[in-house]
Amino acid sequence: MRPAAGRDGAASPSTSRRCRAGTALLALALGACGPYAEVAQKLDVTARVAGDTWIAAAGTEVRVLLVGKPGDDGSAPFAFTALQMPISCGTSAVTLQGTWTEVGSGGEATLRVEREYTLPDERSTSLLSRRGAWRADVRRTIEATVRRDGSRLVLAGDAALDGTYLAFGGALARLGTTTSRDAACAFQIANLGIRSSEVRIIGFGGPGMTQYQRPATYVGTVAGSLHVSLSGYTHNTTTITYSTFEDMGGARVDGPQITDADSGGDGHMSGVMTFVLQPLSPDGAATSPITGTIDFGGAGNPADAVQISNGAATGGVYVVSIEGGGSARVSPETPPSPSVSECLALP
Amino acid sequence: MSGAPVALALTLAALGGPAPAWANAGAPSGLEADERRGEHHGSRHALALGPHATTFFSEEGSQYTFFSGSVGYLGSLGARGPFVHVFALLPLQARQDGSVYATGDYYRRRAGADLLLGWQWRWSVRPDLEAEAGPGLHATLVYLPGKAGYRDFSALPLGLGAGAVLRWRRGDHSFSQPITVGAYCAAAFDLYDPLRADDLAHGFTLSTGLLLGLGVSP
Repeated sequence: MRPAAGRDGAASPSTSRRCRAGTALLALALGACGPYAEVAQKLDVTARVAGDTWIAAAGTEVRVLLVGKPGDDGSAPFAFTALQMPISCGTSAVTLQGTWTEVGSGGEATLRVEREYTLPDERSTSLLSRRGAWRADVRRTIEATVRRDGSRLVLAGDAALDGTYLAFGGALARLGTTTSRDAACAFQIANLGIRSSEVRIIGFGGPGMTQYQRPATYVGTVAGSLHVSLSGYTHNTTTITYSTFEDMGGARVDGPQITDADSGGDGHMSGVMTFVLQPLSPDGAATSPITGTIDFGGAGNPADAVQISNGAATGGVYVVSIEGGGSARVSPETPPSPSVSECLALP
Repeated sequence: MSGAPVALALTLAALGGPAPAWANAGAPSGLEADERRGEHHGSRHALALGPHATTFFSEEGSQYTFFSGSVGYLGSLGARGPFVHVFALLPLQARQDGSVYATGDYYRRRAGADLLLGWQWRWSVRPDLEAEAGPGLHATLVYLPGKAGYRDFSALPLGLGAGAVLRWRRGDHSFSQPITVGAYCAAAFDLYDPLRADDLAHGFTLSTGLLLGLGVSP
């Protein structure tokens, strides 16, 4: 998870810095910076997907596919998210939403993409030029073949979506609870749901977050919602509060994620979120859930709080604790260890 | 003399224009204060009302257009001198890439401003009809904070423009000054938006309308 908002603090001569600060203040007062917004754009248009959650990996990219129950016309809602996770806090992500239609017994499927969300990796872009997360209403069709094999789904036909997916609930059964590694895995899995929510928060990662001086609510793809708000101008606090939020069926998060940053984009995170991971047995029955907490504020030691520099997480740790089990300290800026693929034994 | 013309006189004087004589004590008043027809040395002040349109293209390929109602102030000094056109805008309709939106349906507040500040020349079209035109620096601000659940929109295109005014002196007086009626128009080419990083490719602004004003003697 990345800090919710930042400020460009690149070194520059003092006069230039003052000018830029003046422009930034005016811009922030007007909810500006970054490219032009879409006219009359609704913030949240997420359609709930009640169905199955599948997960796959392609290198450092984690792919999450949700396919709903087909309606009378044979089409089902679907959501697909590709998360780049070369470091634990993640970098970029893309989400597609639309309808999924399978025809005949040959596995031919037509995916009609209606909305595409993008959260770019803008860590090296100055804040005033950052776009943050955005949504485009698109109309495109992906032809694919789908083959289901027990707890696996093999999708082929589009390089961006292809893969051998595992049923998410079944894959969660491979998680342990007792060791530090187990806790690190729990974080990596819970973090996927948080990251996928951030892709849909319009402006996330950029100065467009000033939009949320008036708070807004986004629903979870599976269940729950999140509430995002921001206060302050030169020094602001962004709070994203999750309520029984599920973007992946079987991974629920609750609680606040708070980012405090000054006009230079420097600050820290705080807040304690809880997670519930619900593994399923091979017969589909729910087994004992894995519950725990993620503390962004250093778990009582402010020096360990996740540090923000130039709008990006650059230090500190996520302190992860599994209830009645192991705990871990996960650095946001290093490669996940273990990775999601290793935690869930993804093919 | 009202407060607004005094404020304008101070503003324009600060910009290098000659101080209007009526700002001095002992200035003539009443009909004797009228300029002779065909002379253009006084200051001009007018309230204006009319439509305003601005369109601009983003680097990402979208075209945005805003149609607004506008009410504003036009002022100028001397036969050759500085002028200012400043308007408050009420954006009524927005368009993006062919889609049309009534701004009142999506934005909780609709506000904007337009400024053209430059140098003008005056001349007589007829003895009772005065023309004024000149180039200037231009800015348009559109500020549309969204209703709950909708995204905010704002823009500040800056560029170069030109304005023109036609005034007809009918012979009526108010505040001992000749009343004029007329029309104005302005056009601008916008090329930079400091609020939107590098996203403005270019844009155009057009405005026109009617004015009711006072001509003040030199």
